[in-house]
Amino acid sequence: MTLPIFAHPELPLPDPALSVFINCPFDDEYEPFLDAIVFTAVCCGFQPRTADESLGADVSRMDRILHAVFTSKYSIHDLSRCKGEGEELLARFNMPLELGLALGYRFVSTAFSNHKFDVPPGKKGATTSKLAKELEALGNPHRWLVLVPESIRVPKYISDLAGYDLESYDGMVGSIIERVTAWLMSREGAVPGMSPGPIKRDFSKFLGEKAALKSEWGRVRWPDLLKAARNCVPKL
Amino acid sequence: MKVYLSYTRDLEEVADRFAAQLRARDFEPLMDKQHITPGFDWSTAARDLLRSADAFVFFIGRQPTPWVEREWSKVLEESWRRGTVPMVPVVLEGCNPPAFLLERQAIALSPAPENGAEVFDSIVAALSRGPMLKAASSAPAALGEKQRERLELLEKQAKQLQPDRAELQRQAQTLRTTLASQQMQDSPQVAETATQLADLMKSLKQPNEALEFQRIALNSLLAHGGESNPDVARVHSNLATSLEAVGQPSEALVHLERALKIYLDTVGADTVTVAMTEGRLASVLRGLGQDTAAKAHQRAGEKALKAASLKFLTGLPIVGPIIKAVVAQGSKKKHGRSQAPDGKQSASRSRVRKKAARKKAASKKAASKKAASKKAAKKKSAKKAGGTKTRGTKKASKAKVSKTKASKKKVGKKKASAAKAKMTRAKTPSRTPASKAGAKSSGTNVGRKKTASQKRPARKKQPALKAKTSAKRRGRPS
Repeated sequence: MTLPIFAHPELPLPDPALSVFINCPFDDEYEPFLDAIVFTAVCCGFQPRTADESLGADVSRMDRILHAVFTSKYSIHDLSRCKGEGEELLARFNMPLELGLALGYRFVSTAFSNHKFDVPPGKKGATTSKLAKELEALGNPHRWLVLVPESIRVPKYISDLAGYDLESYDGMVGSIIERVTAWLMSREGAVPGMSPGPIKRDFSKFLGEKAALKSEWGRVRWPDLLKAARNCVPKL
Repeated sequence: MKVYLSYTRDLEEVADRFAAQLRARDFEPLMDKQHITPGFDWSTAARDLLRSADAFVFFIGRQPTPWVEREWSKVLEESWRRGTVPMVPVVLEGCNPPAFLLERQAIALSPAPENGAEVFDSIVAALSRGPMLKAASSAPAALGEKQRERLELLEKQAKQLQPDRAELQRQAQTLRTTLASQQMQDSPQVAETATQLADLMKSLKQPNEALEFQRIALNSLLAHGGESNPDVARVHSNLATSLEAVGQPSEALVHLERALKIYLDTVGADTVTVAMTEGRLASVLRGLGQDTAAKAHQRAGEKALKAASLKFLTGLPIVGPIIKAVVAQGSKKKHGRSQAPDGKQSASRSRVRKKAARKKAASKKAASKKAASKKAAKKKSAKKAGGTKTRGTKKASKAKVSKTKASKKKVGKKKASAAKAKMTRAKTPSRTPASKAGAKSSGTNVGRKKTASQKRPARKKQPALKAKTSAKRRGRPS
């Protein structure tokens, strides 16, 4: 596998074609939904990614985000927490910012995948050629899924996304598992044979493993969370 | 039979030709471009169209667009909803079908148009067979093997994320340097760096060092932001975990109690965080042999979890209002009146209260007007009778009115009638013609007034009683 041109040299790089960048609130209230997305992605054969996936201490957070977004073929976003909070009613802008990065990556990857570059190495434009080859190796351009709770009126909320069909869910974990499974199973790279039923059935097993990790360490690190998910994947 | 045709852009012509042939054989082909009007909500229209289809044929070519992939997702959801649905993949040579179609026996489509008739016959035969043949690659053993291979790959990749001991130690060294310079500058970043270091120490299985860095993080947070902050509570909670790990449960208990207090003050009692902290407190207390306190925290945790679940459920878009209504009805049955589960209802209740207060004020005003007119009438009749009213008599009649006002407030009809009787007794010493006339003219009115103004605030009772006492003491006709 070639190293994608956008990857940060000091950060580890899982296979971009199987990577799903997850952009959602990382708080206690959203935790069950995040767990559902992570577990579903692993069950469908993908590698969930976030900015906190590695312990690289000397890389800034923004660089880590860029690394994770630009080396993932897929991304899943949930904008349900983008509302006024606190006394000043300020919204959290991290999630729209990361969705913007994913859209930018999609734009770039689509543009490159629609053009043929034939620049010999060492000549002017060789970097672009390398990028085009890498993107071609990835297959289709970047794909994203935006999850929005049914209560939010999207056209008013983000009018720029009104032309796109966003996936709504009813605020329940089961509904998220169904949406994410359907989306991932209709993408290239998924392991065939998975459906929401077994994922929902074994989700509680995964939560149990996670709770055990939490009580042991106080905080569950991303690699440990992925390991717990892998241990609980329903067997086909 | 209604057959939905899904196609990638490069195979649109093939799909069109196939639709025409299907029509000639009494099938009803369904295509989004013919059945979904531009400008309409694609999601709803496509869902209705997919639900009306009896079978699905997929023409899979190069580079499916996001719209085609979205259509596939919807078909997949529909197939899960129904259980089994005939699905026929027709795959262009050199292209890959999506994962969910890999389980189906695919029909190969050549880029040259020669095999068109053959493909068409194969599709019609597949559709006529009913439930589709499954591909050999979809046998449980084959699927299991694919899954095992993928999970191994994911594990290998995840290992890259989890650095080895030497790498962790290198990172710890870098962080120690950063922390030292941040401590020199008394930077607010100290807490974050110290927490990262504590995590690293945990990974290196060095709980005592982790404890040390957590204490640094706590002190920094307290110095820069004060106690009332969920981050402080989180560090207290982490400290408790480390203290438990090094066998100091009593100290862990102190930190957990502090964490709980902060969480209660900042995030509120009806949260999962509070429920979890209560649960941990219960577990530590049980370990220390304090079963009664442990049970109390266990119960508090369960209560918090219940409240958090209710808060979450009532906040849901569709079922939320229903749950809210059911809960309100339940509590109404239990307490005889509905409780306000949220701000909205309590707001409406406060509106009702304000309205009632306004009504009360209006009736009070009317009552005082009546009292004034009655007083004037009494004066008039006293003048007419030519009698002189002593100060005591005046006070007695005043006391009558104020006593009336006071007595009607808090009691029902019984108490009101008892007060009426008392008032009659108070009237007795001033049996002047004037007072007699007043009593005659206003006797029934007083009773009515009492009933009408029962809702007056209780504090007004006190002066009325005083007035009554002074009237008794001094209220003798001269």
